[in-house]
Amino acid sequence: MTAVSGETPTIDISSFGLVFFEECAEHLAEMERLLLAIDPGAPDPEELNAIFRAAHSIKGGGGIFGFGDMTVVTHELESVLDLVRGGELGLTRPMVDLFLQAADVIAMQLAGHRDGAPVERDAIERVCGALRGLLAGTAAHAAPSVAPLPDGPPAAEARRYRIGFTPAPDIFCRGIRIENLFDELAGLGGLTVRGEVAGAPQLPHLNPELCHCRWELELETTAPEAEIRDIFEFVADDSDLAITAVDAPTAAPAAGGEEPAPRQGAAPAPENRGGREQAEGSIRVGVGKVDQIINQVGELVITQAMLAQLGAVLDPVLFADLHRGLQQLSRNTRDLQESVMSMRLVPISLVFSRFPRLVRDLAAKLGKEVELRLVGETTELDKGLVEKLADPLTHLVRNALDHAIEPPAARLAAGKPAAGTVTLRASQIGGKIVVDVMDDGAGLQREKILKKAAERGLAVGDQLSDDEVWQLIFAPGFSTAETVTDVSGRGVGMDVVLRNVQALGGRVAIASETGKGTRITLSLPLTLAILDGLAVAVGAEKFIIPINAIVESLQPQAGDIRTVNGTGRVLQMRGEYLPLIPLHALFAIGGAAERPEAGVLVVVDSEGDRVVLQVDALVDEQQVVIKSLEENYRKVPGSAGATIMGDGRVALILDVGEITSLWRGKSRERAARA
Amino acid sequence: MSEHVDTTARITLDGDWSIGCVTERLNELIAHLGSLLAGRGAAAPPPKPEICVRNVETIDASGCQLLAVFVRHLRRHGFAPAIVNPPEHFRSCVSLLGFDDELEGTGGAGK
Repeated sequence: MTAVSGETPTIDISSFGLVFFEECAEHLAEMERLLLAIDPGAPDPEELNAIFRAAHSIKGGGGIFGFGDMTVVTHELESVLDLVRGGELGLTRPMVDLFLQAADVIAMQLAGHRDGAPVERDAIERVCGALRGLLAGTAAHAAPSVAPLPDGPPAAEARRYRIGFTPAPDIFCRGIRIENLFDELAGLGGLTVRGEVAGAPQLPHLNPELCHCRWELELETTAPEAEIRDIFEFVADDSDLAITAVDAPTAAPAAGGEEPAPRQGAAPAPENRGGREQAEGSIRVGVGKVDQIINQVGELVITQAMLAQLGAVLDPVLFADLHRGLQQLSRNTRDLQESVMSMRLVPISLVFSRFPRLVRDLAAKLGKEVELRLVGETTELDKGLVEKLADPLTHLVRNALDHAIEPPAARLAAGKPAAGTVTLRASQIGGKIVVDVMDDGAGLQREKILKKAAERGLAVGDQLSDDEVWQLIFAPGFSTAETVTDVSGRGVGMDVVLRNVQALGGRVAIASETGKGTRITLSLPLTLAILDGLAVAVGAEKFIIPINAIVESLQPQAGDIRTVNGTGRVLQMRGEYLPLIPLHALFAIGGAAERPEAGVLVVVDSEGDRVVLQVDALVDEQQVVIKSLEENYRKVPGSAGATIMGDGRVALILDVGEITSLWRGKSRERAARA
Repeated sequence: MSEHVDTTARITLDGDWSIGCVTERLNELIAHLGSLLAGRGAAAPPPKPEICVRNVETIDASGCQLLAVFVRHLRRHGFAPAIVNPPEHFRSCVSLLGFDDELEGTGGAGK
């Protein structure tokens, strides 16, 4: 049989499921944040309510989207939380631990539904059993003579609410099960429901996949209005819902005979909607869509650059209007690009927020006292970077706790406070995001690292500088840990950190002082898609040098250049000798100026090290769209990617740090041969 | 002595009455409606459709809506439909969604 209406909508439940997954993850993060902050001795009733609401929202959403297993755990959790917030059960530290475990289990179930990740049924059973145990204990101890705790909130009075619910027509197609929704409502108290289809089209004209119903509900409950709204959180907009508190519960007229509430403007402003208020000024858009816009804008930038190059050869007087138009196009393109790029920027707190829990649990496991300080949580960086930064930072924080921070007794003996401090600090410096992981622990031990390196057959000697010694810990499998624990010590951490950060176009630097602590600095590009660069010519080729790496450029005199035996040339500049790297030699380009005096020197900064790049000429400063060489061709040493120039040719984007390393390697080889 | 004429028209519904199948079910109901209208004589009293839902396996809000619209439509054409043999899951879904009133007098879908 064929459908009777051409308006049959496409059912795409998965897209709505994704929204639930995202919101559920946010609720879990909020719940964890609140649980970590709560004082079990004197819990803030508002915080308890917020934790309860988060659990309740997850339960409601889970039920509506058919994830029944999630509702089981959240139901048990919600029941215990309800007793706690009602003052019937005193909050304790072990209970907070249990709630956190329950949040972990829910997160595991969420990952199971979202990513197909394995779900440990035993863990679910353990947590549910422990929660039920708390409930059973409370029931066993409950007696009529037991009065509510004096500090607890007063028992809420039952109120009657009239709820007008006129869902959006596509609610069925979104996979939302209204019966589950009403079942949730019935869980709050006495519920009567009246559905009507008076507004539906005649049968032959009906599109049965669209909702033409409206519902009038009456609910008598002690729950606040916010809790009722939470049940509708994933389902209805404010315009779909009208909730009215009926002041005289017993005298309220029956629902029958009431005029249905008007759909528009009938909803009173909610008093406490949690994250919903924050979301009102935003819409959720898939990352794929944003990336598509970024790519399209990237192509627009290339086209604009081509037009600018074509226009540059035209007479500025005869074609004045065209030049003005091209300049305007350039400004507009840059503005558009910046606006689009800002859509991908998210605060680093998305990563930092996982560490309070990690540090708390790990410190307890290791028998250490550790205070975590988070600085610069609002620093924004590309969403792609944030996601990929999580693993390296986790490695570093775990290492800091396991290896760096000493046990309390050892710290006291060393004249330090018993509690160690681990600081995560993020900041934007120029076009880079810098993340420091600092601890006030024992610091790296030079001799120990050198000994381990020698045992592993690495070529090391006492002549190595501290920085070079610290770099040894990035060798695959390197570990100075005396014992391997399940926390760290297997030597599979730092090399992974380095690889991951380098894959993001970033750098890792280490500073350490014995007995004082260690600072590991990750420098990352602000975005992975666009770069402000200086185009330079070398022979017939062009390269892009990232603007944020450039210190200055100059045309040297013959006397400024010195040759160092066996290791190449240096530029003498204001009393400093900077290594000179001729790009034509590094990339084997013919037809370029051999002598530095015949070209231009660009002084660049690579993580505090300054080197000089020798090029033939400076061409133009421009914003370029980064294209991955690995994806389209292969990794080219010394490059961070490529871009398409205005004339349609491809130019390599230089990775200044990698070029410096490459050149130093070649210099060492030359010196060894000499 | 009055003559008793059985005017009952039996309609049997079965299967899945949830969102994935309601378009198909609508077409079935339109076919039933056509049969009822075609079978109604000008002078004879309208038949009393008896809608047997015993074999309805699943029903959700979209299915309830469709059934309620169907019943309304029948009433508008002068029929007095009755839903009969509702299984427990059918009855509880109709009740939970508050369609008792819409299906009122249909003989068993109520509370």
